[in-house]
Amino acid sequence: MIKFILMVNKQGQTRLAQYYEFLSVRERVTLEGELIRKCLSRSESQCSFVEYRDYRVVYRRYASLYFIVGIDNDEDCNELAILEFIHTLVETLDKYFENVCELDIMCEPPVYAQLEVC
Amino acid sequence: MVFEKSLTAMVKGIRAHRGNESEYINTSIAEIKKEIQSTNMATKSMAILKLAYLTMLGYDMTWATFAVVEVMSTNRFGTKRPGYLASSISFTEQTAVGLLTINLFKKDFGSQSQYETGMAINCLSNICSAEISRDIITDLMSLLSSSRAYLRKKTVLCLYRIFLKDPPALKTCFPKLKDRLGDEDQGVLTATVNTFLELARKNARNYLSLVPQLYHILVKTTNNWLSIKLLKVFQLLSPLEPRLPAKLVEPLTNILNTTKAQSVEFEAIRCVVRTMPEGTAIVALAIEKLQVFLNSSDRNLRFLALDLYKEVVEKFKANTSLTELHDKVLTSIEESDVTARRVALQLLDRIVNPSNFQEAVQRLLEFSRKAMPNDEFIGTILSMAARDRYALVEDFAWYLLILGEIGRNMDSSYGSTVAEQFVDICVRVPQVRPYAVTLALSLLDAPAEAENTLSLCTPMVGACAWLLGEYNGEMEKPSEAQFLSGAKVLLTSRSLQVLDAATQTQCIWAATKLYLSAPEHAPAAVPELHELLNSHLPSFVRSTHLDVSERATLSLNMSSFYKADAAGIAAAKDLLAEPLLPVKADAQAQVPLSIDLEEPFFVVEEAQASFMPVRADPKDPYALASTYKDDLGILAAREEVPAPAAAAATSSMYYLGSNTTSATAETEAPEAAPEVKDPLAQMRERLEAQRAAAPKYQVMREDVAAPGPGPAGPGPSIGQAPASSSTCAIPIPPEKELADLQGRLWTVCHRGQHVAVYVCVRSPHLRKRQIRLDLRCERLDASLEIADVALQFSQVQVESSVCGRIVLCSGPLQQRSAKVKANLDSSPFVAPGVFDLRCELEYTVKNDGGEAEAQKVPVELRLPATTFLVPQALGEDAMSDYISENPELLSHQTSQAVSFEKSVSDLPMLVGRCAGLCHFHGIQQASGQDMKFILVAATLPATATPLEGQSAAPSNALVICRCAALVR
Repeated sequence: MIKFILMVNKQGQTRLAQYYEFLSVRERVTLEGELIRKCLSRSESQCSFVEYRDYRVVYRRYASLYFIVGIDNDEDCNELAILEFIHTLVETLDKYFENVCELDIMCEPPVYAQLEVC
Repeated sequence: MVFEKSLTAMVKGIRAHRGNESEYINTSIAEIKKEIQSTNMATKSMAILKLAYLTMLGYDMTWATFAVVEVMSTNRFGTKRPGYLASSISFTEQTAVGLLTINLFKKDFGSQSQYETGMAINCLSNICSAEISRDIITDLMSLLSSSRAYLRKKTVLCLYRIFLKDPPALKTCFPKLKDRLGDEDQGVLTATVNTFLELARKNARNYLSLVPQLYHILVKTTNNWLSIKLLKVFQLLSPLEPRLPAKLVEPLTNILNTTKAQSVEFEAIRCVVRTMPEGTAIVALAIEKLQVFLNSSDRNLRFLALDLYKEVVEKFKANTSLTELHDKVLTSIEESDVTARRVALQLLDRIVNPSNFQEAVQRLLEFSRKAMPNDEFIGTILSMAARDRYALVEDFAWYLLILGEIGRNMDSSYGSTVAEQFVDICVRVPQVRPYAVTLALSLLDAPAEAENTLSLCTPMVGACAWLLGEYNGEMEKPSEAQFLSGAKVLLTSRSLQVLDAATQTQCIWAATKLYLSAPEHAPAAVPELHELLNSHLPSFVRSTHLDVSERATLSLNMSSFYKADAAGIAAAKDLLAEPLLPVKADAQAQVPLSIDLEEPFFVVEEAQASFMPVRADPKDPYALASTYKDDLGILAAREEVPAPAAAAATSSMYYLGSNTTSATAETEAPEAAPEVKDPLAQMRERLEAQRAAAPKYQVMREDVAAPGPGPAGPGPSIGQAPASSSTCAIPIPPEKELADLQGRLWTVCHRGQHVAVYVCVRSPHLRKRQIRLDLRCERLDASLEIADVALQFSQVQVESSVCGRIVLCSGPLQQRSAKVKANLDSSPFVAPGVFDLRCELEYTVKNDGGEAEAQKVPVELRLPATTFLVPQALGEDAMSDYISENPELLSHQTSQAVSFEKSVSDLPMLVGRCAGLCHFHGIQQASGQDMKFILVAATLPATATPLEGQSAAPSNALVICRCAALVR
């Protein structure tokens, strides 16, 4: 089960966050901060799966934007499928906005509507 | 003036105010607060939208929940939508206004626009609680069969969230949900499979019935996402259904050979590895594919393949070709990625064998030198080597060297493990000792990098010192030089003085051992060793660590006693004569036992059939018992902690866990002749000593049978005990409350074919010498007419009865009879033991022909032991006098531990209640955290001829019960 989807830019600003379980605002802020630092510190040559707290995190970078998906660590999920899912998401956004960029995601609530999760 | 600002404007504003965003946001929030008051819905909606955005930046919006609901209820899609968005972001189960949304949902489910309905479903799945679910589930059910695929899909997904919150809903929805597996729309199908997958994760067994349908979908589908989900479901189901793996071979082979999507391929491999039996063709195929992944250039694939290989190796231990894998793994270890490296290390740990162990260790060491946080590598080396008692290590000298090398690493957190292995190997492998001793000496002797530091981690210093001392006989001959340098290193190195006490002690004693064994192995070095000890030990004697100082003093005295006299020292050699051997884990079992620990120290009294209070029978809620639920206040403890299985424990009268409160358990009559055994008394002392430390509620019982002089016999009932400074009487509840409690303790004494009889034993009336019983009967067979129920007592006299006959019900018996009192003469009961009173139950049954048929059934009415006790007010001093005067007469003892998981807030109160019910008088010895109670009672005065089977207790016998309570 996907626990959260984040879109965070390189400066560490959260552009979009969707949680599928309840976390308090404070928890969310620290989680996002720690996660993006972790992702930023990883180089191209490292794999896209990170273990973080109780989550298994799959991330993918598009230009300056990181798409981060958190999954339950206990269940085995198909990491590759999640990567593909992220890509589908990006393509959907791309179609909708015609060449999507960070600002679009930031300003537009319809993005949420597109986060129809598996 | 209310100024309207769109979301875009606000976002731009935030960007424009770089550096002081929070200020800007605060003004925005102030604006929003005004806008929310507006009557214009569009303005309000925009305000909520902005607020939702700010929530994502970490600002609170719980104050606006009502406005959110208002916005949700507007009619225009455009204004409604921000409301739904905001509620799915910010509402939680605790949000009070959540319940207001139910009608909104119902309305929007019926909306013309599928997007409005979809939005509502989406929002519902985010904020649903069990309450909302119960109201809305029927609406969702009808949406399941909506004509629009879009809505069906959303509903299926939403249902999963609802099942999580409201599990009973699953039962009603299951058939309809199952139908969705046949849906023509791909989206709905995927969603349904997904929902079942998530449900199956919780309890797969319930979904075995879906296998045929799922199988057909798997065979037919070309949708990758769907395939993955299906494969996952099958992974969960296969272990439960043995025929399933065989069925799956074909489709899996198909997928492995044809699919182009790596994610599906990977999932298929995983499915094969997890479900298929070893040695089949499909497993070979899967492993072959996995090899390809492992060699792939894609780092993600390599990582996953490594991870999966771990499972492969675990499951198919023998049949994997490891050599190739081994090389691959070793290269993977070099990956810069920490996660991948860790997995590789774990894998390596599993696949090494003696032939490649050395190579692997060398590689790991190399990496560990390069990488700075290198504990992972070292940890792996150590755990690999230690496995199965060093099964992998062939060349121990080489491994010791490796350990030495690791031990030089000052930072390693594995220092103590290394030292432990170092010593362990030397103890276990005698052949390696000469090498080890030399190695230890060289390690200790190594030139330090800086003054006052050792180039060795502390635990290793201790290990080396010990080796030098213990195996000095193994040094190469002539060993004078080594003895000397060893002792020098051990004593003179200034840095030693900063090490911890245990290590210093080891060094001192090692040096002393060298000195003591010198005459045998290095006679020429004796004077110099003696000199060394004498000159250097005094500085240790002054140590601030007591044990260092003590050990140094001992050594110093030995050396000044034996001086440099070789012959004298040789005499002291016996000190070290006993060789050290590795101790087996089960060595304890081989120690001959002087006492039989299996045998209980005390004779455990045999459990009697327990006298349980009547409790509501869950299967038969209408039984009489349910109306007499016993609620003594610690029932909660009973519900939570199922009484231990041991019947002996639960049936004893002092078992506080459950039926102590019922006061109906039985105790042993002290009819056993006072046979006192000496060893028993000793063991008891021991037990008492142990008991003081036992962190539990312990209840100890002593039945005293003491003829002759004793404290006054049964006299005053409940009175104030003469209290000494630390003791006080336990608060025993007033008689009325006790009587009230007692009145609830009903028990079944007979349950026959037609009639059940319940009894409640009340406190004995001392003056009138009577025991009151309350009796009731109940009709069990509703089809037959039963009448004229009576109980015939023969053993004892019953007040105001004709020949001991108590009529329970005259005329036809309805459901159950009224309460009937019977006052038994208490004088024949002289022993405080359980007594089964024999009586006969008489009643008439009308059979089919309408003829009355008289029935007689023998019944045993069980009277609990505590019925025959009388509280005995006795002060602490009087009690100890009594015990000390009659020590040889303590004939019976049992002890019992009871623990409450729940906190008992007022223990004295609880004990007092129990004591009152059981007719004890009690005093409390200490208060505060740990408490002790002493409860005393005497037997009923013996006046009449005792009943059959009852030997009279000595007239002044006391039952003393000591409880110690410890709060954890």
